Amino acid sequence: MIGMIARRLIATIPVLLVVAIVIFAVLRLTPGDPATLVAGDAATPEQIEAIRRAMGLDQPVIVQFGRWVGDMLRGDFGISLISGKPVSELIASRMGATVSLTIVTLLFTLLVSLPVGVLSAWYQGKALDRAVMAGSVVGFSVPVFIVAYLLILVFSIELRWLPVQGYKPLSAGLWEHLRHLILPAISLSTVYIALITRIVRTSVIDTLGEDYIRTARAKGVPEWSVLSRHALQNAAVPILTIIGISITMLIGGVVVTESVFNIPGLGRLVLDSVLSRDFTVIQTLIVLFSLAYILINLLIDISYTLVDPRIRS
Amino acid sequence: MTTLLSRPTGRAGLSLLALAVSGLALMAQPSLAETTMTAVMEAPLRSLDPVITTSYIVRNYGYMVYDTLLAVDAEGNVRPQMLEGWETSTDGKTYTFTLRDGLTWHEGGAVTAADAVASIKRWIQLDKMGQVLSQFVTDIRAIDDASFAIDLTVASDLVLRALAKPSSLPAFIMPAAVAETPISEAITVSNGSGPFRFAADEYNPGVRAVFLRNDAYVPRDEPASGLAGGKVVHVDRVEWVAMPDAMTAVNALRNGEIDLIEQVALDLLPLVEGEPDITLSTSVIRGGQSEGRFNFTQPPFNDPLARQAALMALDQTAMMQAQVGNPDYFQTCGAVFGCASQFPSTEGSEPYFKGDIEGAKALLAQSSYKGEPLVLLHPTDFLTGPLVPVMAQSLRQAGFTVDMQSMDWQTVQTRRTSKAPVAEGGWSILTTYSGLADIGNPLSFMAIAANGEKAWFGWPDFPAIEALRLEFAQAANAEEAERIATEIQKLAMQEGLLIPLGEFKVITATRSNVTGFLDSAVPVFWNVAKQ
Repeated sequence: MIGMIARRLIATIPVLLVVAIVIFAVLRLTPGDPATLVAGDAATPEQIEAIRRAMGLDQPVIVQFGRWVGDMLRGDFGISLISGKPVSELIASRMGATVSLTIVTLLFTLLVSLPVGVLSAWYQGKALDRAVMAGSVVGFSVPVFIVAYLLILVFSIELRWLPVQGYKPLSAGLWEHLRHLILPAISLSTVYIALITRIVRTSVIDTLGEDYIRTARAKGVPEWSVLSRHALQNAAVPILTIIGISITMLIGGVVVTESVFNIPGLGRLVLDSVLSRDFTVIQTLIVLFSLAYILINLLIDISYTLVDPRIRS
Repeated sequence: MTTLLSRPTGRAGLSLLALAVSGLALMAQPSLAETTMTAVMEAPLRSLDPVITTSYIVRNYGYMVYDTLLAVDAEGNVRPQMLEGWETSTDGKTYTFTLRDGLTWHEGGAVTAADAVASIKRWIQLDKMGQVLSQFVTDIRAIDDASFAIDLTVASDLVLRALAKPSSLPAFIMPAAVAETPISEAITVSNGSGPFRFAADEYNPGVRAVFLRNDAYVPRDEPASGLAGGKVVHVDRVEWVAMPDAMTAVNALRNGEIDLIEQVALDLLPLVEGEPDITLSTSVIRGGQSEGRFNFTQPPFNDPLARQAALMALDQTAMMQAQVGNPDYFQTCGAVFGCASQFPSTEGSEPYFKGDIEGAKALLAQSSYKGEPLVLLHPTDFLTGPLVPVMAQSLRQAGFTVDMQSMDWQTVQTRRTSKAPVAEGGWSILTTYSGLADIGNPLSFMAIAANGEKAWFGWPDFPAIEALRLEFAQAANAEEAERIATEIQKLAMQEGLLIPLGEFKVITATRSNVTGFLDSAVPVFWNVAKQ
């Protein structure tokens, strides 16, 4: 196990290097110059050039790349070209909101999708199953921002139960923290609930047809136990896979939700940085996202061995 | 069974945890007595140097944190702000300024003449009006801690008009050590002498900027008027919250989560019109002019007849309907300095902007245009984006071959710096907009400069216009200034120096318990009270 983890971690190095090269090249090939944004409309070409020099953008691309990678290896993510703040500080200030939103969304998704998926499998072909399948199609089809605006209209504008927007850190109080995340998490989770519910249903249906399930029932094991201990546990590998994919999709896919609910997270930081061509911030974020994807996939692989003895052996 | 909760230590631990969480919550909240004004501004604040960039949100930040030596009141008169007053030498070539008492920096220490001199020296290199002024300045010198002088080669009050200019770039006064930052480097610290202190520890670029009342600020005795007069602050905190989604901002205002939206998206106005808790106010002075610009260095618009044909083909009403929609919030105007400005002459614009396609075809036939494609830059995420397709259609109808290229505003900002032929990445027409506060003066309006390589993008080279601008700088009185501005207007239309595309107003929405929001050229938060 330790050997496998070590091999996987070592394998991340070339992956991250390729990501770094690709993102650096793409950004330099993209039209747009952060110096023009900083200089404003009235700047002369000489002023823009002076700002480019001060930003280090006049250096050959290979020199800029080498400097960036060298600084990254020393743990220095550089300075935002637009705000002048350290990139690490910007990311740290945005990380909490995205992590909180991801965790609450994931918990809500699992709380809904696991029981609903199992029940849907249990009542396969019945009215409940058909309703769940129809609901999952709706979950897949309705864009996140439509769900978000509908929730805001009902729960914020009409009922005034929850805030329209904003984010409060945990230090502002647990309830204050959660009440700002409820609507965003529900909006964001609709597509994942639909996805995971379907996977759970399919996996459980597959396992319910296995011989050991028939044996358990013949031995008089209660149905709830057949479902939870025998069927769901043996269906866990594909479910864990889709949960892992969902987490990685969540990290990169919160841009719309963070914008609609005005949550100052990493998704908005990516969008702002792309629009303002803040190269140092975009580069660092993409590399960090890649690293997060790799680590999450590694954790999912490790979790397979915990739920399935065959993989462990 | 013993559980964690049944053990005394466990209960005590949970109680302590609850206390700690409550304490953190209290620490994170402003005290109950504090009055906080939460506003969504036209753009997020991302940088802190109001002299290096013409971005309006950074200018607005400048007015919160810094102060100016002079300011323009609601009637357009120049008034002292940080100054006790000024004297002019008998030959009119030396101005001596005296700072008023009680001016201090947020981080301590008195504002001195040396600070003012250093700030003017940095500003004069970057501001368009400052650059004109610098042609007449021989020295800017501190006399003592409270007074300084500016020596000129000619007798002119240009120095007063320049130091009082309200918008990009105002002459904000900074500590000398900060003002000595080279113009190629952005200032990243915030230490002013204005009515608000910047809460640097709460600043999250692109997300939130917080300003605290500067209790040490001594306002002038006169009532607030325009950007002049007493800057009396009635709230403890002002928070600028960035909201990328305009609908979210409107919903947050309806829900009472914010107090003010500086510029409401016009298509969302029906959501707030008629709401009893929301007050809408329309501002002309904070409105703007949409503008087009030819590339004078490349065919076909290096030919004045082709430029005139294009001006004749364009239809301001149709373009403004595309950009703004509701006719209550826009007006057509052929004045390059704006119809609400001090110089509203529209002379020379009579044949243009009415969509005269036949007239345009006739002019185009006389020009050197041979049907080569012209590149029209179309910023899809910018205010003028919706009017560009209308512009393209008018030009096509007049006989131009139009290649409308859609891109984001950042790409336009880079692309417009290209002087290459259109086939090699160049361009023919771009669009932008300016606040009315920035266009009303031939010296400060960047798009009126016609000094070739040094001019704004498009690089027009018309020595006659430049000569008039220099003459304007030395105008003896208001009548002479108006005559010269009218001459510039006529020449600008004749040469197609600028394409006025119409003027639009700004709608501000506030909760009804907010009062005192001034209708000045810049959105400011002194005089604002929250009941």
